[in-house]
Order: sequence, then structure tokens, then C-alpha cells
Amino acid sequence: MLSIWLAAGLPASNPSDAPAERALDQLALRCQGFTPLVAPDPPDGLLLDITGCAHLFGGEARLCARIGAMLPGARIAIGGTAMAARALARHGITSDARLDTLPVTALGLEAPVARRLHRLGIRRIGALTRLSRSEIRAGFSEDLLLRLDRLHGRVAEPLHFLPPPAAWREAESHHEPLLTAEQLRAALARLVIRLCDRLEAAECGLTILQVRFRRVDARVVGETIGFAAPARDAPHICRLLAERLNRVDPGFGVEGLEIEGEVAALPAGQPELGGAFRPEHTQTFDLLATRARLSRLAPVASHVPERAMRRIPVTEPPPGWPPAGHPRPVRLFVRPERIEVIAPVPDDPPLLMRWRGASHRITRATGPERIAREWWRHESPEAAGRAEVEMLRDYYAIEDEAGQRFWVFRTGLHGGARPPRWFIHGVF
Amino acid sequence: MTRGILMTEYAELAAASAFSFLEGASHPQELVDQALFLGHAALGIADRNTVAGVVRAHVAAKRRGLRLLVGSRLGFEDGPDVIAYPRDREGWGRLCRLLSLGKGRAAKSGCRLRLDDLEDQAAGMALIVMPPPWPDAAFAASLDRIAGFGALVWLGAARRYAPDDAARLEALAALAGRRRLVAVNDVLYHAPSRRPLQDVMRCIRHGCTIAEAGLRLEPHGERHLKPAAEMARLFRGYEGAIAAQAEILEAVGFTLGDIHYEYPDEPVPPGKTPDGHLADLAWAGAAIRYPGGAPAAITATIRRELDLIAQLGYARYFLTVNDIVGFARRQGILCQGRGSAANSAVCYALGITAVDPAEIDLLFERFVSAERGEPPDIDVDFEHERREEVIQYIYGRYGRARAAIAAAVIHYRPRSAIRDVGKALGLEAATIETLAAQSWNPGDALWSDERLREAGLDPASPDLRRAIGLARELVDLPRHLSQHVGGFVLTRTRLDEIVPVGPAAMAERSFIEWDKDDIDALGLMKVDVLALGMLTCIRKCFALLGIADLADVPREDPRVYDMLCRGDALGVFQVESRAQMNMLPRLRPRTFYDLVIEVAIVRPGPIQGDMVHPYLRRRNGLEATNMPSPALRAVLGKTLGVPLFQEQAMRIAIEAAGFTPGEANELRRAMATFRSPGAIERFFTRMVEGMVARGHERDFAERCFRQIEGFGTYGFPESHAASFAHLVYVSAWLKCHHPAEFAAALLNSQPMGFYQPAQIVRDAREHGIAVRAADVAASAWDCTVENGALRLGLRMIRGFRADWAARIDALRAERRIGLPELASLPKAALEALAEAGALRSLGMGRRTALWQAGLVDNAPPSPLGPLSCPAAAPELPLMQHGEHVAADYRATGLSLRAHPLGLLRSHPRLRGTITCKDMDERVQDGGQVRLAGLVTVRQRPGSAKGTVFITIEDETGIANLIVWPARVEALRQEIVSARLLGVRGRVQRGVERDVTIVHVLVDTLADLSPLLDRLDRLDPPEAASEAGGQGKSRPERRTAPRSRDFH
Repeated sequence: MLSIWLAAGLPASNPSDAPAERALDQLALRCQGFTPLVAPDPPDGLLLDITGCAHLFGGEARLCARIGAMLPGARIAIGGTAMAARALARHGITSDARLDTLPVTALGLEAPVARRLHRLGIRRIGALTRLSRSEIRAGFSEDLLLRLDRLHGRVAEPLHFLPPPAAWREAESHHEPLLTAEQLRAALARLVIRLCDRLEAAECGLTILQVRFRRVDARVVGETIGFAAPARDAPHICRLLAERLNRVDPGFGVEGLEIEGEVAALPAGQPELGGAFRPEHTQTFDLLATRARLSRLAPVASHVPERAMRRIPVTEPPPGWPPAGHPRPVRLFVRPERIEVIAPVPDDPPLLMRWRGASHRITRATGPERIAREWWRHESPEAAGRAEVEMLRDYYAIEDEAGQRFWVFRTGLHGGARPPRWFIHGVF
Repeated sequence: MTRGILMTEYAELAAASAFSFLEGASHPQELVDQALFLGHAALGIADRNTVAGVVRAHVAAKRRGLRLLVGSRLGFEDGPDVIAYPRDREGWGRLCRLLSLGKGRAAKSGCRLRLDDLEDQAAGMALIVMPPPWPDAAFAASLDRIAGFGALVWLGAARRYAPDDAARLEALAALAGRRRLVAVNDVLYHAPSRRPLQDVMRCIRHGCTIAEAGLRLEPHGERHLKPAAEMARLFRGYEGAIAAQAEILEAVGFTLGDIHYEYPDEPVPPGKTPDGHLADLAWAGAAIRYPGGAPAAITATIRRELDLIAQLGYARYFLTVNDIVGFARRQGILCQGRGSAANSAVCYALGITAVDPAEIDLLFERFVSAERGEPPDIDVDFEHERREEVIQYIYGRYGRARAAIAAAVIHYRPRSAIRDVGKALGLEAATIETLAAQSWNPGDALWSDERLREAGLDPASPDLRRAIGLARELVDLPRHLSQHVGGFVLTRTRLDEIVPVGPAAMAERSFIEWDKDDIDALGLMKVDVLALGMLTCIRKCFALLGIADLADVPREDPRVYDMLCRGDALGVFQVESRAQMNMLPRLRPRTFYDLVIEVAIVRPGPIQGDMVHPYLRRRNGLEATNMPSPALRAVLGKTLGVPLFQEQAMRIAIEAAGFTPGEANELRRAMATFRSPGAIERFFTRMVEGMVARGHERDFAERCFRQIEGFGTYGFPESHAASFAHLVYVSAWLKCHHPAEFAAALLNSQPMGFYQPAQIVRDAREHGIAVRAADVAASAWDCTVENGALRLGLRMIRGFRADWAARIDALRAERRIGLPELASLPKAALEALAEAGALRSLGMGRRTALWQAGLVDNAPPSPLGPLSCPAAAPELPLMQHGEHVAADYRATGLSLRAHPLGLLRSHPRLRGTITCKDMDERVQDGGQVRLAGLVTVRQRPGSAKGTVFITIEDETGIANLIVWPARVEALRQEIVSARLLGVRGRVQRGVERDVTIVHVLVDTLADLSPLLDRLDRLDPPEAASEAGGQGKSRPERRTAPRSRDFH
């Protein structure tokens, strides 16, 4: 058994990686190049069963050297059992230290037992051998006895080895380069069908599919499509790929194709998922999504109207909207437009509005609805220099003679440093 | 007070102050000031389910001449909010009972009320019902219901700046009938500039950041006090709503001044009045105090005091305190009055205080005076371990309805303010901690630009400026109510008809909503039932010696003073601190009054006022004792012309600067207000000019004033110093004549005092007392004295319990203790005994004992006799010396074998260090030195401007280190966290009258704490990774005891 202890911590390969367990798993996968039996030893170690593998790498010493080169800063040790290897890696000074000289803490004991051993002056594993089994059991715990047995191989230690990852790839090469769209479609179809068969067997579906074309001139072009829900319906996937093929330039010909995907669980016979997408809808959305960007709106808790919503992907379930607060216009302008207004000071609703060259006489109005600035936000440096930072807005919902309704606001109060300005923000 | 309100006048009747905790953002005083500034006719303060802030508002409004309505905004589980203003005294009582009822039902600091409760208590109130955002049918029903309760009811209407304001006002008007609508602005802060702080408070309350708060914040910043004209404009068309305010003002006649306080009735023998009874008790007590007859002056003083007491009607108060002290005496609980009460000869005669007017010149006016118009304040110290008995007696005697503890308002301090503000604004945790750490150095400009830059922050960053600005606003605003330490309020009638009473966190305790300042302002009576560790220690020592009472200790024993002059004062009350022990050889007390001065002199007051050194110089004959003026000779004579006491400051103000006693009193009050020392600024000109006008030198006048300003943080009254000096003498006498018993009593009364058990034991051994370790064959729970040797008790063993010790006592009484007998104790007890080496007398070494202890079954003893003896222990490694010492420290916090430093001295990291004793004896002034020692005391006194004092201890003694402020920041980590320090510095020697005082001025420190964990294993270096992987010492069992830290 070979034990690796990442004394210097996990290598910072990909900072965007998910939590440490995943990083450790990925490291374990890399080590599968040395032996198929690799088990993560959380939080910062790995165990490799190298029985029968060492000679493939020129002996144990060379194997350790290669691993050491791959993982600088790691401590590596080989022992007869997993527990022994682990103890040697973490606590042995030299790589051929004897088990007897290791401290008892190398057994990974619980704190009370470790403390008791320490108090009684039993510091090294060798000292434990002077006690009889019944003495150990009575004086400490059954667990200590078990660990000693595991250390010396009298009892087996269960380990969980990682299964090898499956690669969701299919590829093809051609002597005669493919030139026409028809040929490419057919080739892709073959690959897709093979992949989907494998997916069905594994009860998974694609969430993302990447297609790569290797051209005669050695350039690689590709496309990526995403799916609203895990998919393994071959005709559907092919149809989507067909849409995208228009964008692919085959150059002087395509020599090889490869498709590769990421998967998620998709049990056979997808049950009804209330509130989520139904299988037939996802395909429509997928089609639309390849042509245009789709999104939906979700509410944001903010008093300021233009910040009160945000875009979310269509795939997320529709959010609940809070119960109606104050009335809001159906259409909100991305950028409010300047208007001219006649209104009694200081804060009565307008009487007359002039917008886009047209005059409107106002017959009805509510307000003011006062919304003050979110003082904790920074203004961009340009904005701060360009215009006075607005302190508040008074909104009015107004209706003109023709019955049209608008949502206007005034920034600033009368009597301030600058005269207030009026804007229209939406229409009802 | 009836006046019509003009159309342009306005009174805000729905204002929440910061005592609506974390909702209102302005202090009641600020609201009062702003209302006056705006010319409002009146102000109504109504905080959420509390009246904690009304007294402050009342005091401010009275001083500045604003009409104030006091009430509360009641929140109901089954109805709308209702602002309740009591109309008369009975109405106020009902409001208090209502709030008490709600608080009694709720968890800590909550309040649960239902409309039914209001129905019972609504008579005599003016109610303003506050509607929800949209008045619906349920609200209309509630309003109808409330209108039927028999109070005067209005409907509060506020402009919310919502689009439906006009429609809402119409609807409310329809509900109320135009006549009953009243205009309010539902105020949360006094001025628009407070809006950000109010938003931040909401975030703190909801536990979210400001970016996440979203709709929980107010959409705008309009909820502040507004000018009358603006309010009139906002309520155009509803002029009646504004006029309704006048009706409310007319209906409400109650002010807090209507509360008349009455002392509890004390049982007085039939045929006597309280005054007469008090006089009888006082003369009887005087006869006991002065067996040969009281001196004429004392008799005259007592008579004068009794007359004044009778004139002011305070006799019952004295009888109450006398009763409490009497109870304590009957129970054998040592107690002693402190503070200004020690100025009273009557108190001395009654035995409440211990300061003999024949010895100390008392200023009764400091305690009670005709002009003060406020009740006296008697604080009594009790033994800290038995104080609870006194508290229960008071509850038992007066009942929960008439006795409760005063509140303490916990205000935001800089550290808590920046932490809460920083979190709410979403600052990074590291930044917040850096800013919070800056408040570690009080007195410096807080968060100034230079300090920020030093800490690596950018003062120009807008986020930072914003956070600091808000934190500064938040400082000194109230955060929540807590229970005061021991101030009891006692009343004759129901207490909960004067002020709401709520349950405290501790079971069986209740406290009122007002704090000491509020109580003083309203003239309620308060008795402070305080705890003093030294009283416990003295009583325990008396018990060991068979002494009955404090008065039995022989007075003025010269050997006691010899000991104090040597600075040999560890364990002695008040004078054992580092600073005091340095002062003793300089001041060389020889009489009781010298002790009085010693107690008072090492305090921030005199130190800041620069009066200490002049006094010492004069005392030691280095300077002439000249009085600044003949007029002041009487005042300053006994302190050699240097003002040291509060009373002297007062007298100087009166006699030298022409203050009236009332003004001098104001000055003293300002001195005592802990939170606003700056309030004294007003008096500066007045005093200095007054003194100069009477012929004093300006320099002296300014120095006097500076000293008085120093008193602002903490000054001593002479009477208080005298009370304490009494205990100083008694504890010093015990240490001098019975050091073993005294040490035992100190150990048995921990935690108390300045030192850890380890230092107490070391000091005892240095005085030649043999100390024996705790052992199961000889030790009781407490430490005892065996033939002059100190036997440590089982209480010294960490984690050991008194009931286990009682069991061992019982076993010992039956027969000899052996392991089978001990097997009836829990395993944890046996392990504790084993680890402490207390099973030595059974013939078992530590390890063997630990082994056996781990094996013992805990089955109940069988009738066949004790359990089968556990098998003999296997061969276990011998314990090394260092391991023994480490085990000793772990188990008991001290070791009788050796000091850790003695064992570590040969370690490479301590190479080049010398012992503390060597340094003391051999190193010259200015010499470089390297030391190492355990940290026993850390101090950062407020008067020292950021200097840190550390005491370290090694196998030969102690050393006192000084870290100047310039080095403190760089060495902060070591100062704060090291248990074992390595020091490099320079020696500073001062010689005064053949006593040498040595300090080490620190250049650099090293944290050597990891070495302590090596005590266990003084072997050659072991496995490299052991220290690396599992690194630091396990937190739950430290090898060195914690140091005492003082600020």
C-alpha cells in the first residue's frame, strides 16, 4: 500500500473548482494512471494499492519519485497495510522509518484515548506492544485494539476505491475528407446514436454537447449546444445540431469529428415533475434557444423601480412575485426620457406634460410616491462628475384627456441647488 | 397647561427614540432639542413596548422648557399598534402594569400583549391607534373594539408618501369621523441626516446586509420631525387632524413629576415614629461604638444628622438599610457600607459603615444635603459568595411586587458599533476586525486617518468613510437593557405602578426599565447590594482563626505597617496590584490615614491630574509643604496641600472659586457621569476665573481643574477610601500575623483579587510557609492549615466538585481511604484525583493511579463487599520531572515541585536569558537584558495612554515589564496571546529611600508558549510532523494557567 499525504495542501490547479472533496477526487483520478485501485483519504491524502504495479514503473523507489514529481510537496510512504502506509507518510521522518518508532497519534485515535495514552506516558506505538491485548482493551478502548490490528494486518481495513470515470465521447476519422453538409450531418448522426445508446444504458442525459471538427488544414472548429433538461433523444439532438451546422465552416474538408458531452442523471421514463419542464416542452425551448436568447424576469427586493427585477434563464422555474405593492406600469422604459412639465410647487402632481413633441393635459393623477436614493450604492466616477447625484424621486401616475396613463417622476425638490427635472419612466 | 394651538403650531405625538431598540435612531435628548429648534408646541415620546427612555426625555425637556407627553407604543398580537399616553397618575400606573404583564409572558426582552389586556387597563388613557398601510375591515373592527374600552381614542394618520396617500386619508377620516383623526409623522429619527443609520439599524435587527435588506428598509427618509408649516401643508384639507393635537394635549395632564415616591414602611415598635426609632437605634449604636462615651463633637454631629434626616423625611430609608445589614449580621455575613454613605456618623453608629467620624473628618453634605433634594445612596458590600442570600432576603421581605433590580442600559461602544455597522454594510471580516481592534486603545482619536493608514487601510475609501461615520453616530446609542449588578429599588406601594417590571435572564429575578440615572432623577430609592471578594476571604480567615468580627482586630499594629512599607502586599485588599505595590515603598504608610491616601492615590484621577508626584515629594521631605492659600489650609492640610479626594475638589470649588454647594454638587455629578466627561467643560471657565479672582495662581487653578476633570473617569470620595482602608488594614494584619490561614482563605475565595493561586502559593512559600499538595487522605474541599503548613484543598483540582469532596470526607470518617472505597466515586472524579497526583498516599504514582482509575467499574457496591480489586497495573513509563510539572499545572494551575521556567531554562530558545532574581540584583540601570517567564498579569490602564504593563514569573521571582505605546501595536499579537514570553529590553531602576523599584522597558517580545507543551517531552526531537499537523496545544487543558488581564 502506498500512501500520499499532501502536506502542502491540495494543488491549486483550478481555483474555480468545486469544494475540496471534488479536488481530491480529481487528483485521485489522475493517480489512476499508476494503479486502478485509488482511494481518497480525506481531507488531504490518497491511498494507492500498488500490489503488483510497482515493477511496471521500475520499482517502488522510481514509482515514488514519479508521484513526487507529479505532486510536489507531498509526502509519500509505502507500508504493508493502509494504516501503516498512512502512518508512515504522515509521521515518519524518513521513508523507511520503523512502525514502532511512530507516535501513537499516527493511529488516528479519538481525543480522549489519545490524551489518556499521552498522560500515561505511552508515546510511541512500540510502547503499546508491551501491553497485553486485554490490558489495552480494558485500559483504553476496543477501537485502539482494532487500529493496532489493522496496522499490523491482522484485520483488514475497508477502503473505497474510486471507479474509473466514463468518458462520454464518440469520435470518427475519415480518409476522404467530408465536404458537404449532408455528409457532416450523417456522420454526426452516427456518433450521436452511439452516444445515446450508451447514455440510455447508464440512465443519463446530456446537459451540454460539444462538437469538434478537425479540418484538413489541421484547424479545429466546433460548436457547443446546451439543453434545457438532460436529453438523450437522438433525433432531437441531431435536429439541433443541424441548425448549428450552418455556422460551421468545413474549409477544404473535415477529417475527423468528435462529440463529447457532460451528463446528468436521467432515469428511464421521466416522471411528471410538477412545476418543471415536461419533456415535450424542453425540446421546443431547446430549438428556440439555439436561435435566440431567452430569459425571464424575477423580482428583486428593491424600492428603486429599475432595480426591482432581474433576468434569469428560462430553465429556472418561474419565481413567485410578491403580492402587489404600489401600482407599477406595464412597460418600464430602460432609459427614462426627459419631459417638460408644468406642476404646482412644491410637490403637487403635474397639470401639463410635453413628451416627444406632443402636449398632454393631465386630468387625473396620484402621488407623489417618494423613493429615496439607495445611499449605500456607489455612483460610477463618470456619473458623479457628470450630473448631480439624485437624492430622491417623486413618482406620479397620471392620466391625460385621451385616457392614456403614464408614469412620470421628478428628481430633486424645488428650492434645491439645481432646478428639478422631470422624466417619464413608463406607460400603463 | 391649556393653551390653544394656532394653525401654524404642531406637536409630534408619535415619536420613537433609540429606546425602541434598533428601530429608532435618535437619542431622546436629540428629539427634544430638535422639537424645540423647530418651534413645536410639544413632543410625545412613545417607544415600542417600553418606557425605558422617558426619564431621559423628561429631564431634557424640563431643563429646556418643552412640553413632553410620555407614553408607550403598544404592539399587540391581535390588533394594531396603539400609542398610549396616560392622562393622570393612575393611568400611568395602569400603563406600567400593562407593560409588566406583557413582559412577564414573553421570553427575554420580549413583550406579548393582546387587546383584552388593554381593555382591562384602558381607563385614564389617551390612545392613538396607528392604522396599517391599508385600513381594512379587520382594522375597522379592532378600532371599534378599542373605542369601546373607555379611554379617549384618536386615529393616527401619517403621510406615507405612497401613491394612495390621498385615498388612505379619506378612508381613515371616514373610519374615524373627521373630529377624531390626529396628524402624526410616525417619527423614527430627529433629522433627515439620520436616515442611513436607521436603515443600518434595521439591517442589524434583521441580521442582513444593507444590499440584501431590500424592501425591509423604508423607501424614503421622511420619518423625521418636520416644521409645523410643512406638516400643515401635508395635511391640507385635514386641518382638523392638526387641531386634534391640541385636544390631546389638553386631555393629558400627566408628567413624570407627578410620581411621588414613598419609602417602604418599616416595622417600628408601637408608640414610636420612624424618626424616633432611628434616633434610638443610633444612640444605642453609638454607645457600643464608643464604650467610654462618644466625644462631644461626635454627639453633636449625630444630633445634627438626625435633625437633617428628620427634616428631609429620610428616616425610613435608613431603617430599611439597617434592616438589611441586620439580616446579614444575623447570618454571619460580613458586610460594610461604602461610598458617600461612609460620610455619615449615624451610619457608623448603626454599624452600616465602618468609618469612624472621630478619625476621619466627614462631609455629611456629600451624602445628604438639604439642597440636593434627592434621596441618599447607600451602597453596601457583602461577601461575594453569600450575596445571593441577601438578595433573596430582600425579595422575600418585600415581595416581587415591591422590589426589583435597576436596569443598566447597555450602550454601543466603538468596538460593538463598528462590528455591527461593518457587518451590515458588508465590509470584509478582516477589515472589520482591524477597525474593531483600533478601539483597543481608548483615548486616542478613534479611527483617525493616521491610525487607519498604519493599519493598512485606505482612509479615502468611500466604503470605509461611510462605515466609520455611521459607527461614530451609533456609539453611545442604547443597544438593549440589561440588569444592573445589585441596585435594588424598593417601594411602599406596588412597584409595577411606578415603572414596568420585567423578568431577567436569571430565574427568580426581575428588573425595572429605568437605570440608576433615571432613578436618581425621579427621586426613587435605591440600595446597592454589592459583592466583594475580600469580605469572603476575611470571613473565611476569621473562621480558621476563631475571630468573631472585624472590630476584634487590633488597630495600628506597627508590624503591619512595616510589612506594607516593604511592598510585601500580595493578597492585601486594594494595594496588591502592580502599581500599588510600587507605590507602597514610596509612600511608606505608618498610620491608618496613610492607608486612606494610598487607596485613593493610585487612581486615574490623581494620576491624570498630576497630583501624585507632588504629594510624594512633599511627604518625603523633598519639597516644602506650602498651602496655595490660607483659605485652603483647612481643606488641603491633611494631604499636604495637594488635592487628592472628591470632597476636597468640591470644597475647593466652594471655598476658592465661590461655587454654591448646589453648583459644587453639579460639578461632582458631572465628575461622576461616566459617559460624558466632556460635560465638565462648562465649568472650566467658571472655576478658573473664580479662583483667580480670589487671588489664586492661574497655573494652580488650571491644574486643579485638570485634576477634577481626571475625576471624570473615576475619582474617590474620601469616605469611600476610608471604608476600603479599613479592609486594607484588616487583610494586611491577617497576612502579617497569620500568613498560612490568610493564604488558605485567599485560595478558598477564588476567583477574586489580583493574583492567581499559583502566585498566592509562591508568595506563601517565600514567607516560609510549607505547602502540601492536595491529597485524598488529608485534604478537604477547602484549603486548610495543618500545624502551620498550608494543605491545598481538593477545590484546587480542575474539574473537581464539592459533592465529591464531601463524599471523600464521609469515607474518611468511616475508615481509611483505599482504592476500593474510592471506587464509589464517579470515574471522572478518580481520574481528576489521579491526574492531580492526589492518590499518592495510596502508594500509587500518577500513571498507575490513572491506569487504575480508568479501569474501575462504576457498578454499585455489591453486598459481598467492595468490588474485585482491579488487576495490578502494567509497567508504565516513568514520569519525568518536566512531565510532573506539566501535569501539576494542568490539574491544579500550579506546581509545588518546580516552576516550568526552571525546567525550560536549558532549552536553546532560552539561551542567553537570565533569571528575574539575577536581573533584580545585578543588572544596572540602562543595562540590556533578556528574560523569559510565564505571563501572570496584563494591564492596559486607561490612564496610561495605551501603555501596557505585563508581569512575568519565572522560577526565581517576577519581573515587571513596560511596553510603551509605540511598541504596543507591533507586539500586539504577543501581548494578547502569549502565555510564555521571551523578553529583550532595558532595565530601569528607580531608588527611593533605599527601596529599589525595577522595571524592564521592552524592546521586543517573543511568544514562547509552544515550549510549554514540550514540558511533557523533554526528549530529543521527535517526529517532525507531529507538531506540524496537529500543531498547537489542545485548548481544553492548558499547561500554564491563564493570566489575569486588566484594562
